[in-house]
Amino acid sequence: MDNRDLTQLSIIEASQGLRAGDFSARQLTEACLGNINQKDQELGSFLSVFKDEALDQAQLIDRSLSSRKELPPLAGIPIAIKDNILIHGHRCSSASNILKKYSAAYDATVIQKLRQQGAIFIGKTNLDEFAMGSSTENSAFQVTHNPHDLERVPGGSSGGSAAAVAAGEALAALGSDTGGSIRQPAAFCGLVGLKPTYGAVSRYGLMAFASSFDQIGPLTKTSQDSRLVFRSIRGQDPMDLTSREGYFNKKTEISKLRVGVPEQCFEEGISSEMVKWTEKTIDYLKDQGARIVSLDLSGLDYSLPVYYVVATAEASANLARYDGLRYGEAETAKSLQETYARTRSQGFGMEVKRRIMLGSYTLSAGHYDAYYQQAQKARKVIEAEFQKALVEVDLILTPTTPGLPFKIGDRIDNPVEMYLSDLLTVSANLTGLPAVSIPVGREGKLPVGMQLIGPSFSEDFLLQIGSHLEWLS
Amino acid sequence: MIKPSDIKQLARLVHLDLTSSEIERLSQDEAEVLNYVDRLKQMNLEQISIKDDRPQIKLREDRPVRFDRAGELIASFPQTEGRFLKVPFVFEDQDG
Repeated sequence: MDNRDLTQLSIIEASQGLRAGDFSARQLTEACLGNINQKDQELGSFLSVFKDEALDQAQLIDRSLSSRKELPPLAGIPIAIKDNILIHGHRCSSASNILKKYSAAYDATVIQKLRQQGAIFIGKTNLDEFAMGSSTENSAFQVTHNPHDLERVPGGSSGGSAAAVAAGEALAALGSDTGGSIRQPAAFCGLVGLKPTYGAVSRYGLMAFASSFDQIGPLTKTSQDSRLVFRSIRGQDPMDLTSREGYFNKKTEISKLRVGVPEQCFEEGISSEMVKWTEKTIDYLKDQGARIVSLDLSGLDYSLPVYYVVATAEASANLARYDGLRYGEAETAKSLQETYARTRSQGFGMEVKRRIMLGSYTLSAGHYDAYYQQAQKARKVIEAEFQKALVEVDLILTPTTPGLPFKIGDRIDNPVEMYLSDLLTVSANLTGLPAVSIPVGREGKLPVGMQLIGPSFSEDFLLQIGSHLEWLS
Repeated sequence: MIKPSDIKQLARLVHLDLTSSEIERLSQDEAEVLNYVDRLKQMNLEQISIKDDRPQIKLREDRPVRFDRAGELIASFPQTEGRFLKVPFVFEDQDG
């Protein structure tokens, strides 16, 4: 047995170790379960842990390894799954009281794909209820803490997934990103977080929040790991008609790179620490020979308002299905109307109610033109602006977040302040473009993430450039 | 400005029973969010068409396929009678 802390390995290192016989899949899984046992009371990353199933699965992989069978790269790797992605036979709550006893009757497509790879599902992770939030404080069940500073949030909504990987409770995790929910927690926890191109990964089996923005993606320690997991889950799926294959063949060396930096990255609202790290990253890229181009993306100023109008409108429609009739918690009353209202009022938390109400308001007669239609038009303008910019430059660089991880409780009572956490991430969801958060360094003990946005289906390219920027200093 | 009476009306439409403190809090929160979102009105978008010009999605053929775990779906019904899903009357005067 290897003396290294197995939970600190990247997927690629662990995969090599398994094949070399340095340790077994069971030992690797036990090491992650050990961390969950030791740390999760304090961290609150997991909503459920599949101890016996994970160990059984590990044993199967070990048998295949000892018979020298060729196995896919993710075989034997413990992976955590955000609790809004369905795994057959397991509870899937979306961190909501309305689904607290709901058990999934089928696997999401991403789960089927990871199963075929031999990945080990170690458990389901905490999130803001129905992925609505930026701190994982909006879960109906527990608050997740940042492993780098327990008084601070891990980001959200995939905060449980991010904390689990950062604390060595899993080697990688899946999250979902509607407005930054993979990238922002990745930045807050010192991980690589990828939001793929809209349609690159099937959404079948992901509980819908805002269907024109939602994408599933990986949270990993390194860019290489991110690429490996992304390659395992991407692809067209007949069960999700918005999924598609795409190609991006351009290879640009870092020395010939044209990097666009929006002027807004240095304006009010972006903390001095983030400005400093943006400048550091720019200096590094310049030293490597890259050319920096200042971009005036005026649409960025409107991205967040557009996002909060369109995403809440879609959420109000998507969440209409939770009515207490066919599944989930039900508060059955004498009349149908009362059954709906009681079930939903008791089942949904405050943030979910706030967003359903806002979405219905902006869609309602008298307000539709001023809000929803205006937002959809603005979305088109922002899309065109980004497409134009990505002809001029190879990729766009911004900080992932406007500031460092904030303290638990600091923003929970101020929705607008909480929404501002997504200021720099929502554009990639509005435009459908791929974006990745890369951990570039630390301010004290807190990690700092920088975001790279590229043309459609340029994930491999973004991750290749990202691998140069990991932990710059 | 969104009034508490608007919040009450909206809550009825989206099937939420809100307490008076929730109504008060939501009136204030939604007003703050709408105030922030109102900056959208500064954009001149009169010339922009709302038409979605992205390539149309090709829908799959609408044909039933067998789902072999129907029992699991039925097991998750909140209320059943025999093998049927039980729901309150859709037309409320039927019990009178």
